[in-house]
Amino acid sequence: MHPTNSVLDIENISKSFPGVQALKKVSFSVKRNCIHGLVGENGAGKSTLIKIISGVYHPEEGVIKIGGAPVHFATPRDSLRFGISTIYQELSVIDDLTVAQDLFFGEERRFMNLGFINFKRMNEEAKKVLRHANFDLNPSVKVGTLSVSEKQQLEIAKAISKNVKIILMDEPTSALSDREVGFLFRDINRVKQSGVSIIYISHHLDEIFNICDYVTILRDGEVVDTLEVLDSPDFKEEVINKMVGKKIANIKTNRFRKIHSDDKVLELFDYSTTTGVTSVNLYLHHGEILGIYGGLGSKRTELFKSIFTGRDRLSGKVILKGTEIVGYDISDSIDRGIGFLPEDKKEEGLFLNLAIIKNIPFILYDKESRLGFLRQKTGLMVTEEYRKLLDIKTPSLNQIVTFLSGGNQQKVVLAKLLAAKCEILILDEPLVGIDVGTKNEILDIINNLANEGKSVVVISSELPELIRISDRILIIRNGSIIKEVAGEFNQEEIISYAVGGRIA
Amino acid sequence: MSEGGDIQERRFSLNKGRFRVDFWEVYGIPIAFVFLFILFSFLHENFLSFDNIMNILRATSIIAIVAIGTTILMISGNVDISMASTMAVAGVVTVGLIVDFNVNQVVAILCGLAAGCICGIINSIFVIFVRIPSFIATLATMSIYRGFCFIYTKGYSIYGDQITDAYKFIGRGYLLKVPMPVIIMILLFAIFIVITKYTKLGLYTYAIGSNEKVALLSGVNSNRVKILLFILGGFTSAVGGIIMTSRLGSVQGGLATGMEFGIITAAVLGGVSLGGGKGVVSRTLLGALLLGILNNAMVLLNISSFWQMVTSGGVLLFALGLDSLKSRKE
Repeated sequence: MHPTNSVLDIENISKSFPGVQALKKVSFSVKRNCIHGLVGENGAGKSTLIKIISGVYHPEEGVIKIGGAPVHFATPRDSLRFGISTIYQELSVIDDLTVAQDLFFGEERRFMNLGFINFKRMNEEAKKVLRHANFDLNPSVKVGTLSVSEKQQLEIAKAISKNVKIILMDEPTSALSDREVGFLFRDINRVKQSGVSIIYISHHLDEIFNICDYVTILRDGEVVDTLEVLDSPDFKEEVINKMVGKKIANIKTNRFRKIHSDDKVLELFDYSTTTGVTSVNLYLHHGEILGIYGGLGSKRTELFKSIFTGRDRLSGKVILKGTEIVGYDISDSIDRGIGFLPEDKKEEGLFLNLAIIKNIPFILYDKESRLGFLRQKTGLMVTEEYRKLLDIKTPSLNQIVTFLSGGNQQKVVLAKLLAAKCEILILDEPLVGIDVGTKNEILDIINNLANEGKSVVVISSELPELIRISDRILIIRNGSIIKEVAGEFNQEEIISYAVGGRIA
Repeated sequence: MSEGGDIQERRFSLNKGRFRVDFWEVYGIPIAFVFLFILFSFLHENFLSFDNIMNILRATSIIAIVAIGTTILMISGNVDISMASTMAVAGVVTVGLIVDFNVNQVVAILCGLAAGCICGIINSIFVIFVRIPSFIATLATMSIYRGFCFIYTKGYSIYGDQITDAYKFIGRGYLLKVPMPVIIMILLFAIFIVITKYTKLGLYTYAIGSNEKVALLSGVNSNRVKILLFILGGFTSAVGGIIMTSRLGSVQGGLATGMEFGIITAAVLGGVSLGGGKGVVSRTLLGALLLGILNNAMVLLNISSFWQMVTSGGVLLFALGLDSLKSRKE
């Protein structure tokens, strides 16, 4: 490319974490006055790259150049000093401050007068900054009263007021309504005209096609290509192909399970939640593996968590084995044989400072106890059984879980759920953080569960694996199920539905 | 557990990785205990006598009993600092019923125990349903319970002939040369060690303290468990309070004032963490005994009781400091 024309050059950046090479010799350039999209599937390395550009992580090799000169970021503050501002998904504004106070947070000294802050002058200055950025915000209202979209404007204004050259935006639309997305795009285009470049990360390809000038495609930690964005269907096809990689066009499922179509164990009718799930209809057969595919912000976790916990339901019906269930809580769900493997396994699935032998049979103990006394013999046998089955590496079943490696902790969470012997299992990202060898074993276990007559919902971002085991796959996007595929799966087609390249 | 034996054996053939424990967390207090015990037996010839050891045990017993409730609450990530006031409530109710209302002593004791449990229920309501942090909520009830004790006693002691020797036997009597309070202490510890190790309630207590969100997602009704724990906390306080009135043969509004200090120190020495999820009931007994021999030695060595206050505070800071440094390391 033309080095003179670029504000930011990423050259041969590599980064690895224990067990994974997150980025391999990543290179691309961001041009002046451009909106540069960054796309890739989950785990492609997008977030690692953002964290390196914003100074949170340090690359093992490679250089970052700003305006042609190599720079080194020891901390996020350095990155800001060189003119890069990052707006994360979780906005870093402070609800208890006023808009002006937040805008000049850390720069109060500018408005100091005899040790007191001159808030009047601060408000006037804030008004100027906001007017310059074309944002209609009142400097003296509390940040907490703003909408998500207005908070985003505040963050953008903050970046502009610091004279940054590059703004990184990580999934900025994940909490916005369609109308607000429109406002955001308008703002981004304005910012671009004022001479700032934007790196735009999103799962939604249609957004990328809509506002980006260039797009860099990441896959498995490598840059596949950097392209100028064109407005044609062929171009979309090309991007999707490059995201997915080699054409594994039609993977056939290698199972011949017989599913009785009238034997539904779980049905949802017109199910909506306060968390953004809208009018979902779905069913789960006895002995079926139902795959759920969707990107970030698709509300896939919210949907199934709501079904399991009985919370957040706005409207709709849940029918379990033919009877409608209402007003239930988690312990009712478990009593009725529903099990849930949470996505955040460490925070929601594990008792870190208890031993393995307390963790694995935990849910099972609810049934396996007499007069309040635990049947510890059963607990011990079950724990040993699943330690062997999942090959959990530990010197003792009395080991405190904190001291296990991350992968082994993941296995303990899975074992805890499997040991509970549920009839219906909801597995949210069961394969994340698990090594390749064990991945296959877990897929076999899931398969066997279905063959034994258990019904399994598998929520996963790992499409090839999902295709391998699912009887049907539902594609979910923005809180709605937009497509159901069964039998022969086409990976490309599934991804294009999930990212919005295709309208159902 | 006889059939479980061969599985236990097999467990040691797993051998992958190193079994890790925190050395000082597991062995720190026992080592300190043995060290002080040996030290004091050299410093004073009477320290090791049977009578002195029984003295230490008896002096420790009330703190140790009340500390059981504190320990299980702290394992669940809560704390009850109203326990000394709860002791006074139970004492005032029991002795008040016996002396002022001529109630049968057994019935009065049952009412005293019930009063302790009710104090626990009130605490749990403010912690669980009003969602006030347990330290603050029980700080408030500590003052309220104590106030009611003074209101009823009007600042005077309650005593009378209705308090028979049978009642005083609880606090002053001996069974096979062992003081009654010590026997009650051993009995209660045995019961609560079994509860924490072998029952669902025990497992859920640790689980809630370790990570309440996970416990909820695993189907635990954590509110029910926490209410029960506060009740048990009130119960053990009531037992301690009643033993105390029996030893004194009377009750006053200020019964057990200031005891919360030793009780919490015993629990912290026993390994409970302020973050919850950790602690072992049997080790709280060790913690209480450690405090007991420390105080006893200072008495034997003629060190003024003012210095004892300084030492007890120092021990608590030391124990808490260890816990805090450890969790920062993690």
